Amino acid sequence: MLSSDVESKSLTLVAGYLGAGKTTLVNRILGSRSLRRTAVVVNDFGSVNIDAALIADSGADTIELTNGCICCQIGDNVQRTMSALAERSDIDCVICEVSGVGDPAQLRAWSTYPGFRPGGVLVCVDAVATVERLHDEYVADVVAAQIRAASVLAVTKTDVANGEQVSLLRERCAGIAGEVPMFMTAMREDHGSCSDEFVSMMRAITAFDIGRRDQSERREKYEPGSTSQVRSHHVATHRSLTVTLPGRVDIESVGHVLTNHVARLVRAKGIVLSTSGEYEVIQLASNIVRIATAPTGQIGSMESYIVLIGAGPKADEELRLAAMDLRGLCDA
Amino acid sequence: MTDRYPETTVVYPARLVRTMDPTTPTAEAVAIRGSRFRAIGAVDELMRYPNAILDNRYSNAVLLPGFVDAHTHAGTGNVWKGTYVGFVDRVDPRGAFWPGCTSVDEVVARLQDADKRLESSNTPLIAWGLDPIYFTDRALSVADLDGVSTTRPICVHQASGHAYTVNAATLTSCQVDPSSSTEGVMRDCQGKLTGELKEFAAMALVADVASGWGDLLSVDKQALREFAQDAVNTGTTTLTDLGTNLLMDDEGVALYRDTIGDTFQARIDVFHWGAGVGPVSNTLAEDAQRLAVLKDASTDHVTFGNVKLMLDGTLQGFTARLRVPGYYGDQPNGIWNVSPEEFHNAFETFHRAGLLVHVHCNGDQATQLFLDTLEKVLTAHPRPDHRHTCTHSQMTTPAQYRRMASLGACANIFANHIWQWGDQHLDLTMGPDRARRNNAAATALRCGVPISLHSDSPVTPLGPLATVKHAVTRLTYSRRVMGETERIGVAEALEAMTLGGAYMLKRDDEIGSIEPGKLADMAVLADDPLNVDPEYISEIQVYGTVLGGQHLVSNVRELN
Repeated sequence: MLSSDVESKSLTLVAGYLGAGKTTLVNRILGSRSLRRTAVVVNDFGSVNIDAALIADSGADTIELTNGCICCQIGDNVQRTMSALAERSDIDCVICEVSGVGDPAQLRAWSTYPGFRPGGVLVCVDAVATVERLHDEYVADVVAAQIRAASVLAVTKTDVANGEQVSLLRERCAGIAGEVPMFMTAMREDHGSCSDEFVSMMRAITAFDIGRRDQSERREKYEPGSTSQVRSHHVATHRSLTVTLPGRVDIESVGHVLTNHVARLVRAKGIVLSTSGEYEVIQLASNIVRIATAPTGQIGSMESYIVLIGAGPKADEELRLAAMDLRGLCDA
Repeated sequence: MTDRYPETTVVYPARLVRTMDPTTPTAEAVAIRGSRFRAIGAVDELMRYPNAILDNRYSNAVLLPGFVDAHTHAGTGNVWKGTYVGFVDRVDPRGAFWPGCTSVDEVVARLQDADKRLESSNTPLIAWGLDPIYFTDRALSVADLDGVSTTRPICVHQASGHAYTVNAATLTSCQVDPSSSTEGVMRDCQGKLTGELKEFAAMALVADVASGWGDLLSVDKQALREFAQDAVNTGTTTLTDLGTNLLMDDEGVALYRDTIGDTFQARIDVFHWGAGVGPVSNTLAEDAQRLAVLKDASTDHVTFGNVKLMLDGTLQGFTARLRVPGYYGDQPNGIWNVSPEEFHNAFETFHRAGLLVHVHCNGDQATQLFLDTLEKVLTAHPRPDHRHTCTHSQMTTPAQYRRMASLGACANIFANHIWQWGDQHLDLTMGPDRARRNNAAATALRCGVPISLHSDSPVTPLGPLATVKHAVTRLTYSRRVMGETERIGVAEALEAMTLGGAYMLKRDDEIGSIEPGKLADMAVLADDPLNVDPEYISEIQVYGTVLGGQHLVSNVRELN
């Protein structure tokens, strides 16, 4: 049984329908240099593409990588895989792939198992196929449930989709998921090192309260083609922008900047390396800025970053201005 | 040809032989040479065959073709390693009768008895078959189980496979904190633990106690043998294992081959589980080729090569996939066990390899996907006489049955649900109207769809005579009739349970009816099902079976 000395590991789910880019994302994570002490749980080794040079050791259901990461295959016994991971002290973070038609809400229970803590749900949505899927007689409700469960949405294949498709998808997602950060990405196998994209997504997850969305909301039935479901009080499309800040930053000044932009920002949250050398969490919500010491076990050693969320027709511009002010703090 | 057959021809007179063959629907006797029927007719006719001798052992019995249940699980043998606490009566493979536990108090009493019988005071007490859907006013709780023992860990596996109910000793020995924040650890309105652990994360907390009980997916030599005895006890001569993942390994194949030899007490058709449990294989085409080779190496007793694909969940678990109007209480739609795309790919691959596919569809949306996919597959790769089957087929509609007929598909209908969960379907899951239309055997027959009926053992007990009774009377446990217009006749139900099952396994040339040349498989009964009140068909005593001419005796201790 789990010793109380083992620190809890964040458990993040990666979900999304077939072909939405989950596997590509998983391969990125496994090949990444900036993610250490991370275990990735996949349904099937056959779908992952690990560079042979990276393999330190391999067993029937677990592959250990030279970069300190582990890749596990779920196998017959989900319980055994997950409870074994829960007891390990050599990893900080677990990323678990949900099957294509799987409901992230089912696997999410594991994030409350001893040894784990919730690390959010990253859902991939294919910019080309998703809108049609949301009207498919067989899977519309499944895809909507995935989107609804998201802490972060990765809109993939943006290089293949046209602008109209992408904006229609964003609207649909906002209607289902409300105020959830969306990352636009091509997510192609042959794109250079885009593991930074993933790191940004992970930051956005840690930046938001995972459990804030009420359980009861999630069980609403979704009917394909029903516009009343798409329309909600979050009609306005939310935009997000992540600002990274090098070196140490005076956290009080960050607070002032955010306060100045309170009218334009819906929300903001970040982790900042303060001048005292401590990592601190700074949040803006309901017009109030709060600062607290960051919990240990965050991903890697990071630069300071703040995720800004804006809304409304001028969101892009407003975010740009806030970002400029924040960056200005470092130039001084 | 006579020089190849030195064996005698044994003539068995009976009170009555029902053959399921319209050319000779009834007879006085059967003549068996070796493992096959040689002739059927009057005793004096049969005695004129060369080397004929008379055997009167069945002269007071009624002989039918051996029953064929085309949807069962070999793990049936293994579930009895635990104590049975389910709602309905069952007979275990050793012939012992276990009355159903129809209240929480009866569950507790059963467990108290089991607790006394266990030798060591440390061995966990594992029980199975609990379905909370039957106990609407009071659920089995940790307090009830503490009343059985406060020292021995107790774990009750719920029938769905998705929850346990445990006692305090289990929680303590697995260090489950009363303040545990793991999702699925259920609490009452005062915040105290109820003893229920729902879904896999919460269940994993007590894995040390709960594991070691085999569920319906686990199979070993002993389980297979007990499964076969269950068959003998119920007049069943052909069963299926629907399905297994073991066939992709030579060791797995060997388990079946080595155990199911020429003297094994049932025929087992072993299906490969191709989709719906875990991720779909990356090597479907190779898997299909392997199955095609295994198929050729099948014997009379063990058959390989057929494939099972599972689309959705169950009605009583609210995990079946439904079309509008959906579940009675507007519960959210159920789950897909495989995506439509992967299902299509798997179905097409196995079909192209010439294999037979049975697809689990409980909800009507699952049936719809089966039909759409079958149509695409057949259009792209026509294949005559495929007999692909929609199995369970619980909510299949008249329009869907019409399509099934035109596509050449079969339906294996889960008639046992009418009795075992009919009240729950009427009142909780489907609603009074929809429930009446479920398991629509009459509609299927009217539309010309070849049908069979099944138990899905151990989900419901193996027992073809009971299955016939359920399809004919459509009585629920509380004796309501769930849709009288879907009742079928006894003769139709018996045919479904013999030739119908054989047909959808593509073995109707060898089994399913009593005809010359076919394998000599028979059910040996005390009474004629067509001559008793339909409600009492399930009470007819089964003396045993004849399997390829071998005489097999039931070990059930008959009650009056």
